Amino acid sequence: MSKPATPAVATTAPESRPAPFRRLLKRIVGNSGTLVGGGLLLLIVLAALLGPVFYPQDPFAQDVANRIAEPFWNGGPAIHPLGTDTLGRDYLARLLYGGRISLLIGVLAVSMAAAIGVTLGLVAGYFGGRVDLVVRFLITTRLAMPVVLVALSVVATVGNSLTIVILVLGFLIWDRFAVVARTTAMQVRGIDYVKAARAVGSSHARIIFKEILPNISNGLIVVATVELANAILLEAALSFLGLGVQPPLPSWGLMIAEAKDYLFFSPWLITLPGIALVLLVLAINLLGDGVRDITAPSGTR
Amino acid sequence: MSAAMLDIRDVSKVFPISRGMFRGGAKLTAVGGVSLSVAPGEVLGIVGESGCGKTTLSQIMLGLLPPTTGEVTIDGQPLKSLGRLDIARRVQPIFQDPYSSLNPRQTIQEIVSVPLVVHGIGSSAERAKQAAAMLDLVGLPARFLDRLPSQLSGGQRQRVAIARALILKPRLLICDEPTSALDVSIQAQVLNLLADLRRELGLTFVVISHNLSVVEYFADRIAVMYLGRVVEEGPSAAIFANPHHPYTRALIDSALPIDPGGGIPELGLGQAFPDPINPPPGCAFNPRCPAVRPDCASRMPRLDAQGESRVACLYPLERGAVAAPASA
Ligand SMILES: Nc1ncnc2c1ncn2[C@@H]1O[C@H](COP(=O)(O)OP(=O)(O)O)[C@@H](O)[C@H]1O
Ligand SMILES: [Mg+2]
Repeated sequence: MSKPATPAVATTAPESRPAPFRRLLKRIVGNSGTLVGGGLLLLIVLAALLGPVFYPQDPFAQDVANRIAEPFWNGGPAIHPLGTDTLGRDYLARLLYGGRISLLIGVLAVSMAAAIGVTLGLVAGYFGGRVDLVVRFLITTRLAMPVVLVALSVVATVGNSLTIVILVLGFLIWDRFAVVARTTAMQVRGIDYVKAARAVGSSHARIIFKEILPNISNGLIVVATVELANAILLEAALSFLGLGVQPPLPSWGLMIAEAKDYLFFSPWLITLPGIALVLLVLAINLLGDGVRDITAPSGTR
Repeated sequence: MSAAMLDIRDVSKVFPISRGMFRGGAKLTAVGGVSLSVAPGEVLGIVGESGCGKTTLSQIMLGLLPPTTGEVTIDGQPLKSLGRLDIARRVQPIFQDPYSSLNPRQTIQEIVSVPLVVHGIGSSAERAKQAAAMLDLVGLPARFLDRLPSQLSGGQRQRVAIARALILKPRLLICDEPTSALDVSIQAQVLNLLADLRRELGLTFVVISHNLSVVEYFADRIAVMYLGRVVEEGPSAAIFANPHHPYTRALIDSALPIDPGGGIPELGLGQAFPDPINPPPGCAFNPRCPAVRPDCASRMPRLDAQGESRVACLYPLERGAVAAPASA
């Protein structure tokens, strides 16, 4: 005791225990996937949101004299750095605007799916019994429907607007939210703090949303990232098939579809939106994996 | 005799148990025909081994679990006739494990003031003030208000749970193993706090434990439970000085000065606790009873007055009788 403490001992002294926020920060910084994914996603979101401000070319204006202009690395005209498409519209402007559309559809569809799935799952997991039976039936029904086929038939019958694409996707991807919310709510509902909340007189709604939901949000955030990537890819697939976003609105899936006939002579028309799509989905998935690792109970896996 | 603070009449709870698709359902009687009464200001201790139905009974008293039969009355009002807010203002629980009874996502202030929010009491500033006052009452500094439960020790957490239970000013507290999950050194502190609060606020208590010595500490009356039934009930002093039921006797003999880390005392009764789905015929205690007689397995004893107590035994022990042939 009287001996002066060595530096090694000093660093393990109890007062050096970091506060929870500092610990969380450390975990985030220590997780390179999260940093790369988060950084990339931030970049894409900023480009999509602010790009049109800093790069004020009109994504709809047709420069007929410059149709299928080459990008700058092939010596194209300086006013169109990434060239133009088959109608002579500036490709960089369309990419930036298309990013907005992809993100908008993804975020709105996932928000809708989360609202549906989380509510159903929480209610099923909390009440159990008959309520659970009904929700499980709904989940099974939803899982029995092939997503692309249903989306195709709905859009083919009702017509395709941005709103309809978002609604259709939202109604088709809520199942994972419901499954995860249900199982985790079932685990949490028997814990004493839920009983304490009951004993204090809390309503079921208050318990579900104020006591249980905050404790299962980690898993739901991971599901949200998976579904965001999923929704963006589905939108691209629908647009590629001509049943998603309507031209002249650009979306990355639609741009790929419009460029597929020029694959051999003007390959950048298809590779640029393709790369953008891959990067966006990759960024979201990296971030999702990172969030899962960071919020895992031990913080190690 | 004054009107009872809490009165439970012939309460039982039967859980349906599913045993797979082909064996059909079974029934588990967790609580069977329990009648107890607690006078205002009194402390009733309920003891019994793990699995004898103490927690189930406490949840019924709190209105968290509807009884299969029987009626619970609080302050003269049948629990059934009261809304959840009315029940909450009259009776509050303190749970065993303060690590699971506090929501890990809420600050101490949120946890302690949630009851006020639910009951629509006060502005948020007033609620914050009341929460601080409650922390002070349970011996915690106000700076804990914006901490999370994970930053507190077990004893501190249990104090927070007590503050939450008291903020609605209930007159009755139901404590289910309030110290079993705590370190030995902390247990006495928490029990002292409960005893102080009882004196200051004139509270009525039901204290549940698997260890008689915890209950002995401040119970006025003690009810001993075995397999869902009360087998002996009476004034604390009488129970300790003159146990009539061989099971009570075994519990007293096994009671430790202080609960060693929440462990369950070894009763020296040989056989393990019986299966509650298939209770033994006759007196449920007969397979383990050191003083068993032939007709104990065929006749069910009733809870009858015996001295100052009530006892459910066909051949109650007399004063000074030695029940167990100790390690012979
Ligand atoms: N929800 C339930 N469903 C089925 N059986 C239960 C349920 N709750 C408790 N039990 C059973 O009832 C008996 C009494 O349990 P409990 O009240 O927790 O006892 P104690 O608190 O004395 O340990 C046990 O056999 C237990 O398995
Ligand atoms: Mg218990």
